[in-house]
Amino acid sequence: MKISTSITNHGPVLLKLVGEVDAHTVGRLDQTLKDLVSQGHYRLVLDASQLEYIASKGLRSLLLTQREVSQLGGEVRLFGLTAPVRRIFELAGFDELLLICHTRQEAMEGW
Amino acid sequence: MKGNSSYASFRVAAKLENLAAIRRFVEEATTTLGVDPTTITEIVLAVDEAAANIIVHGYRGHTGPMAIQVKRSHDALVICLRDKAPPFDPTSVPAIDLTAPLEERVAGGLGVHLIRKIMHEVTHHVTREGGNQLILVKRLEAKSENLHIDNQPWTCTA
Repeated sequence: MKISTSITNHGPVLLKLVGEVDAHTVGRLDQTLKDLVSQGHYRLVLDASQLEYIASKGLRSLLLTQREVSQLGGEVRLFGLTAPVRRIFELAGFDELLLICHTRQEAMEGW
Repeated sequence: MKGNSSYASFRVAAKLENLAAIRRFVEEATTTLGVDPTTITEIVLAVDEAAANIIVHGYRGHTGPMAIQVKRSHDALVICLRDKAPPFDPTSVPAIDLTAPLEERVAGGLGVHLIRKIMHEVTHHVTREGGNQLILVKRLEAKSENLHIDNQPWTCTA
């Protein structure tokens, strides 16, 4: 699993997740999200177009981050979900807990 | 992986870094058994969560063997996970309430919730050797009224 992070001066932080998030690789996602929040980045946009799999540990990490940033005026948004990842979100009920946008533009704008 | 047209089996060390290999095995086995892509996604998730539980809650940081068998039996898919960890029954984990507040839902138990949601039957037994056997059954034709899960004559030897 790889994560690339783009931080701009005024817009939200864009994180691109590539590969699979499972109980083995979730630590990297956890740490990246925690570092960003501790640096004061509360508006987080996740590009999931190359995310092939996410296990419950990964969903939990996203939900905990959403809980934290929402109290600080921010939000976690996702876009580009692949069919398998979308199905996993639906099974977990997370499609109603996290904001899933149709396009990157929709996710990056309107904060 | 070894197998024929009706079953496949996989033996692996119970380590988190082997979860990806376990998912590849389940993908390959279910594809060979003619399961549709959406159901494959669901079954892979359920087995991954079950295997992660065995590694984290069963072996608790120690390493040991784990074996997985996948079999198609009429209109059901039967998956057997065996290990030699101290007895750990994932079916005893309390169900989480998805209508509960966010704080309660992130407390844990999501993996077991997903296994229960995906699979039609989840059964745990302590094996003769004192390890665990977890049988997961997924009906492939949920509308079938004459469902026949023929898992009795099949002994999980994984």
